[in-house]
Amino acid sequence: MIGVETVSVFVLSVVELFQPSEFIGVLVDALSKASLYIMIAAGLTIIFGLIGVVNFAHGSMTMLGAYLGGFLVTVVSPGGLLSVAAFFVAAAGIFVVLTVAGGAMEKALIKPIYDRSPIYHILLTLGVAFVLDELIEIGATLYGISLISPWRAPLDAIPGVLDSTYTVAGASFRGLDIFEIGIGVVAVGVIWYFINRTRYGLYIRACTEDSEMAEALGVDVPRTFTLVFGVGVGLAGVAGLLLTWDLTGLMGQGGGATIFLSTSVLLPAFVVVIVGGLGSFEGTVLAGLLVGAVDALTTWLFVNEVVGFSALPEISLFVILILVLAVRPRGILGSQEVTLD
Amino acid sequence: MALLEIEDVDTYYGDSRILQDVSMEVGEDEIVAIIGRNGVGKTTVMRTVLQMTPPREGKVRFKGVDVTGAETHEVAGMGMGWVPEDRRPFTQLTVEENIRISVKGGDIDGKVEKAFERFPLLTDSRNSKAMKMSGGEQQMLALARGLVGDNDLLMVDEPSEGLSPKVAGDIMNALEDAAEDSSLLVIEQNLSVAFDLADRYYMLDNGEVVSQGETEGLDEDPEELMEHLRV
Repeated sequence: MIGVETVSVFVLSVVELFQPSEFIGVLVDALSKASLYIMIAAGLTIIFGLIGVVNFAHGSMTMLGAYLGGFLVTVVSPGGLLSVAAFFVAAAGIFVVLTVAGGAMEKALIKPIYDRSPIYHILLTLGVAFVLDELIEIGATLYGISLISPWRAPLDAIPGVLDSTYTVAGASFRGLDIFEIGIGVVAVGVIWYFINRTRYGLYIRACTEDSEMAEALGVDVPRTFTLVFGVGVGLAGVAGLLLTWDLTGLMGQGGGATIFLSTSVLLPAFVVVIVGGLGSFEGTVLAGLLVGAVDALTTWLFVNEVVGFSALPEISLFVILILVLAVRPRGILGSQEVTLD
Repeated sequence: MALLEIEDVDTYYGDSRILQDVSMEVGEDEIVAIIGRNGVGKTTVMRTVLQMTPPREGKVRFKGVDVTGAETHEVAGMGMGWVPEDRRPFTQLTVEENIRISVKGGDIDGKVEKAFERFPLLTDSRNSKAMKMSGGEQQMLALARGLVGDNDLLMVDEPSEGLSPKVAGDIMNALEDAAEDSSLLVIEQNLSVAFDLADRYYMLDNGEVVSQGETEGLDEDPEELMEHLRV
């Protein structure tokens, strides 16, 4: 009987989900989450695909972007609609600072161990992650910023237009969701253009396939590696800034700038990269949309008490990973399987 | 002064010495062939010149500049091109992108168009991915890539390998045309083809230069060389 009841509730919920009021809400939530997943994973996948380095410091770079960005937004936010402009100033600043920092990290730390086994890359980037996390913790503590709960100051700087809830066709969503979708669409467009329509993008695609041949044709491969590593880290930083304002976060982990941010974004980012296919930006976009949709849907199921456990979004993420690795190990659009060679 | 000077070079893969005390020269407007059996180090000479496998001993000079230990892209940027044995097209790029990436500056669009004029067979597959090309087309593309870079020296590894006689003939004609613009260093196992094309030759055995000289007349009586090559 319990089984019948459960099935009935589930079927009724599914029917309810397809009501415009619910469907639009879940769709907006899915797209806004997808934007975050794509922005975090895009940097990781182009670094992984081109350089072959598994950057375990990527989550920490995202967290660094969240705290530095949060600081900038708080400092420069003039209030009202101008705060939206302040966000873009902060985003540009974070992108530049983290791109330079990422490029410096590649040149100083990663480049000397390119020829070593991938285990060296993992250990080194893990070391960088631990150091960065500790430094951020020290900095936040010095400024009296709470590490456990989301940092309030940048949340208070969210402009009203983004903090407000809007209702369309009976569906409710925050302005911030639409803002995140807009940022995501622009980011995908810019990255796609950069990879497919610029000379450096051509270098990146060629080097991803055969960097030795590209260098023999005159391509400055070391500089391309540095640029890509830097841009990948810069993108992670901008995603971190967005997460500073987003309290719903990813995979039901809770958002905002906290000391848990680095680890809570790293695993989903790796899943998106692997599901999309190593080194494939288009694959990452598709995987980001898929994971965003599953995250939003499972969150809706929990919020609407169709299922009673909050870990459903996280479990679903890893079910997707397991299924993809079992059925299509090279991911949706990848040309190579995950290896440690 | 020769365009390319390789002086007493020793090159290793790990602990294995592949080239031993190798010296070669390629002059301006000259075609030089490297001949020898499989595995004697012919390809390693080209990898050494481009510093993909830098020598442990000896010097490589290009246009009088010591490039030993330089970055490969720096050497290539000085005007050196390479057409590898396995062609190595970027299979995920289109034919046009494969050519475009090889242009080292100046009027990029104009140079790309010139490459298609020079190799009209590539025009039909211009916007197709290189992975869809036949072996002959890939060799043509690899050659176009090497030529579009305005290189003063083009190194071509086994240009006729695996191709039908007709396609190999087309490739050799293209190489002869290429020689009007740049010097060539060519690895070729087919001796009559090598001697038809080249002005001089170096023969390698066990990583050492065992014979060298003018090619003129050799194609009439290559018995001694055939003995060395055991072919």
